[in-house]
Amino acid sequence: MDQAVEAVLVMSAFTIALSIVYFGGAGLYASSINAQLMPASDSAASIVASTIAIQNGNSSQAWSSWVPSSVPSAYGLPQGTAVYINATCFTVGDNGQLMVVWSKATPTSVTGAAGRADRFIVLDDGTALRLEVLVR
Amino acid sequence: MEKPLVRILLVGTLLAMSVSFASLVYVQGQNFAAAARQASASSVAYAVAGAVASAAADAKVQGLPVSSVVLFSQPVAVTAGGRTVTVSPGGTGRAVNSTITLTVPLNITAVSVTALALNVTAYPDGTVYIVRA
Repeated sequence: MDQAVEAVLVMSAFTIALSIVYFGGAGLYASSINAQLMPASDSAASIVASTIAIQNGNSSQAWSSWVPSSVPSAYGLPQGTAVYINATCFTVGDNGQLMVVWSKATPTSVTGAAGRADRFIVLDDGTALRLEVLVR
Repeated sequence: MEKPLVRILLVGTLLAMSVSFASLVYVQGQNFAAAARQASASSVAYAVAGAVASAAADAKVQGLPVSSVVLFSQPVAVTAGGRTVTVSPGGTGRAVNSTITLTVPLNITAVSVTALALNVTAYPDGTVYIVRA
């Protein structure tokens, strides 16, 4: 019986070690997949920024009446995707200072590692626009 | 009589545990590999769709044709048309593919190509050409 107990103990130790290796490997796989998906977040952010830019072009009127939306399906992204948009329109004053004409942002926020895209657009009335998009 | 019986039961149990653990590892490994292939296909699809959307946006804003090049680490089969882009990393006929449909009014001219690099050209009217670079 002593041998049997010893065998059980050895096998238990082996199983525990194997489980640790296995779950460690699973963690590495998960982080590898996340690393693969990170560039996709950047591309998704670029798609959102480009979609907005295509819709509004360089028309200052279109941009001033535009309402930012954080609904992912509006940009062809899957449900559950968090989208944050921040747009600032500014102009250069007579004294050379930058003056904000208007600023719009979605009420949502994106925390942690997120894909990012930025656009800088010169509008038809001489003002400039900075568009920042975060996607997670 | 008792010792051999216990030994046989013990060995049988250990064998059963080993087989079930090996099966679990195999199935999980297959699932992880499938998830990695799908993630890779999704990543490539977003890269192509992002390049198309970005070129189209720049063309619309600037009022000029805009070209960009997308590079891949392995041959990728790309099928596109209208507003939809479908990619299959590794070439045509691979089981894993990913499709993205853009929501903006673009007209990607129908194309089916397998390449390591793509040239994306967009025009201000929303027409987009995808060719092998």
